[in-house]
Amino acid sequence: MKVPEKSKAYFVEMVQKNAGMIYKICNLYAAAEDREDLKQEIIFQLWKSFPSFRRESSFQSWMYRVSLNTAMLGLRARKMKYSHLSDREVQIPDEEASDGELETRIRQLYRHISKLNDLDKTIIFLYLEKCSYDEIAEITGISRGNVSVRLVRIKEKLRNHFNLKSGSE
Amino acid sequence: MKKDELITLWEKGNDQLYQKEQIDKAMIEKYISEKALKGAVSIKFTILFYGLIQLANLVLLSMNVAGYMSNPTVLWLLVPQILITIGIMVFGMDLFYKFREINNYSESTQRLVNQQLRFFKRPYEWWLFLTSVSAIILMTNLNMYVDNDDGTYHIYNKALYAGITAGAFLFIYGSQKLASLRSLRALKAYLSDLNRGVLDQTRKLEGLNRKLIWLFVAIFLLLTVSMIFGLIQALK
Repeated sequence: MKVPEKSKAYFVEMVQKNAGMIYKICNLYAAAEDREDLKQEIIFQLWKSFPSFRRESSFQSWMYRVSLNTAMLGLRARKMKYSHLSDREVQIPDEEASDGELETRIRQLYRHISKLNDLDKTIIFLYLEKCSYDEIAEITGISRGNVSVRLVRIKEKLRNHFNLKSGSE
Repeated sequence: MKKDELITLWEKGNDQLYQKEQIDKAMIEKYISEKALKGAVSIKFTILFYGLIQLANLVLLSMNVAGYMSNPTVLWLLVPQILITIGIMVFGMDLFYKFREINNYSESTQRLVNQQLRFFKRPYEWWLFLTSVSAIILMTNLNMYVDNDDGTYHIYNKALYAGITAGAFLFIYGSQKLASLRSLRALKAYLSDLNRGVLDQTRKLEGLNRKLIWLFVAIFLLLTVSMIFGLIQALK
């Protein structure tokens, strides 16, 4: 794979800038023991797919697409391990060190999203990352209308879960 | 919780969680090195392995051409085999690059799964057939090389020879087909689940795979025991 040094520097800089996206996807799609593998696989797939990045869409949106596909297909194809995680497996970094309300709530949110199926998980993740409906449709490959319908359902489900668990609203 | 609250929680919570998590340049460099690749090895390995078989076939065929130079009938059988072997090699290279291309995950999820499905249905299906043909070419040419009797090759029982060759072809093709069916079924299940937003098919498949593994272990044990028993009988 031949990529000019200038492009490579751009790639490294952009991946560093969007590192949070990779961490979030790893936490949503992989069990604790597979996260390092998935992180490595995502970065490798991004690099492999980098020549196909046309700069018509933003780097971030392209990165979402490749990273999510890797999370959903790459690791799955290799290990046939499904991302339906138990509560115990969804551990966010530095859990012991934190007991603030914000961290408790975000952990709960992660846990509930992790329990959704892959497609719904992707849709709500992209929504929370402030992607437009069109972007979500493009990345997942389903229609805009379908995105909208599913999103209503997922948010409702999430809201219910949250109410049940946190008891706050 | 309103939608804005969800997004706010997501943003603020993640800012707090990942403030210490960073990916440094050295880490990225390490991950993007070709050596770090662990995925998609099995199909690539199969393609490369059969690429080597084609090379071995070409060497054997050349040796047989030299060995049967005085026998025009055999030569006319060898020439098409050389052409077929070269064709399989070219097809294999094309397949290798196609597979690499599909595994560049820059497409949408559904398009990607569909592409993978198409790959397993069409070009890979042809590949299974052609590699079985190449295994038969290897087998027959090895025999021809070993049993070369001053430029002549004798088949004493033509019906048995044809039967064994056909049987070997079916066995090789069948075992490869079984392996590829597993991948195909997994992809179909995943696509169906993706479209419907459920995990029914995927879960069913997971259960079936577990059962199949046990079945294979049982067959393997049975065959091993039979082989050992046969060897003991033969030694007596």
